Amino acid sequence: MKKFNKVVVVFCSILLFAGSGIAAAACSQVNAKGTWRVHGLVWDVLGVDETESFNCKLKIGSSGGVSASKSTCRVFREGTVDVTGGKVVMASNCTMSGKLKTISGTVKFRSGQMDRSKNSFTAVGVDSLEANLEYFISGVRQ
Amino acid sequence: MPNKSGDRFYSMTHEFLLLLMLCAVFYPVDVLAGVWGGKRDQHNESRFTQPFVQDGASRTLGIYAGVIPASDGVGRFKSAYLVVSPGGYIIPIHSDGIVAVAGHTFFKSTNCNGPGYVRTSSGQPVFTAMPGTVYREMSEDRLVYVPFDSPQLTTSMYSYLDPGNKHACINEAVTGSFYKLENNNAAITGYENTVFREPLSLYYAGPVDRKMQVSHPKKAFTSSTAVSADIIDIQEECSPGCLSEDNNNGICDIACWTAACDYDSSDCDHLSQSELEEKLSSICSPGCFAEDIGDGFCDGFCNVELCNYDGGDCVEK
Repeated sequence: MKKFNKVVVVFCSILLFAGSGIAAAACSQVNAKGTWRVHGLVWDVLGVDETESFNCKLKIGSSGGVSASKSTCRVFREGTVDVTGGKVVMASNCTMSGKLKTISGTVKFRSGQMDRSKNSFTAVGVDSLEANLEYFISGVRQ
Repeated sequence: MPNKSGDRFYSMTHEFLLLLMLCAVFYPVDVLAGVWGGKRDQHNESRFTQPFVQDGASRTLGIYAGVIPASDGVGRFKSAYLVVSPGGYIIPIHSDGIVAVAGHTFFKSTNCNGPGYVRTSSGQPVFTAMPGTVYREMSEDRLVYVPFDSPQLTTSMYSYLDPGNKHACINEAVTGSFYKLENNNAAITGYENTVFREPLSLYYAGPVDRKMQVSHPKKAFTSSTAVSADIIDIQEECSPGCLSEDNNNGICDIACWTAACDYDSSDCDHLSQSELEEKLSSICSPGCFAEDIGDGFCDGFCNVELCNYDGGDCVEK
């Protein structure tokens, strides 16, 4: 009987532990809400253009909308690039996708993943018009 | 964005507007400079003199200005100057003296030092579609309020095509958000005498030097751009940083705690007065939050004395 109780306790503990893990991993759209510092690289897979780095401040709304008024990007060697909008979609398994629009183009992000703490994410993306331009971004909640 | 997509963007309507614009560029400048007491730089007509726009008392109203085709309210388009007051009010001024306060605006472009010829990204004149517009009706000399019954519109204005591509602001985007005037009469009181009754003095000369373009621009992250339909992306914000989706979403967003956003539509009602005040204390000026200051990004809302000029973020480095 005691042995059985031990098994039950261990089993329940495992369930609780696993359950808490699942809970931590589950995401909702609102997890993307907030101000993010995003750093990234853009490179030309054809090797024509130089690789460049950029960093952004993005304010994302509760439904994933990107605030144009409070978001901006800066490209190394080029200067400020205004953000005009965009959308971030957060799946329940914490994968992310979406697009970021700037005054000069659109980047479509895919394969994004938010971490368990919901305070950082990484993603890769591609230019909506020139598929040879690929992006890697990493974001940290401000 | 590449020109190829920009080509798609220019429909016949835009070509018509462009024609109007080009006419407006060359016609009213001379006329207004004379009529409104403006003067040209006698030494070098190919350069703008600064400040570009001053009121009758030689106070600078704004350095962002341009010529836009603006509605006269009866379906005709006239050329107009776009003036931005120090308080951020965007004021299209028709060449015949009609003045309108189209709303509150802000400009994000920090590296556009000269006036540009602007249009809305939608191709629509700024004057016509703005909710909450107050303008002076010439015939009766009274202020007319255009009812504000829709969410505020954030739009982007892009430099108008210039055949010579000579302007400093060509290829520069200027993003403007137009907000409800919370007290329209008060908002325009300061301009009744200076703008309308004592028309602006416009200082005008030719374009400034065009900035160097980057030889290998990345598409989405480049400061040099042409207009593309793909970048038309209107995000509704009733106040800076308050997307419409954040309003009445059950979460208290202090950016939405403004009259224009109906004070977050009761999302903050659960907060006590002290909690609310604490949140509000993080705002040193409308649209500027404590986290924005000194974060390395120039934020136009924070570039005021109350916010320590964005902690130096807007200083050219």
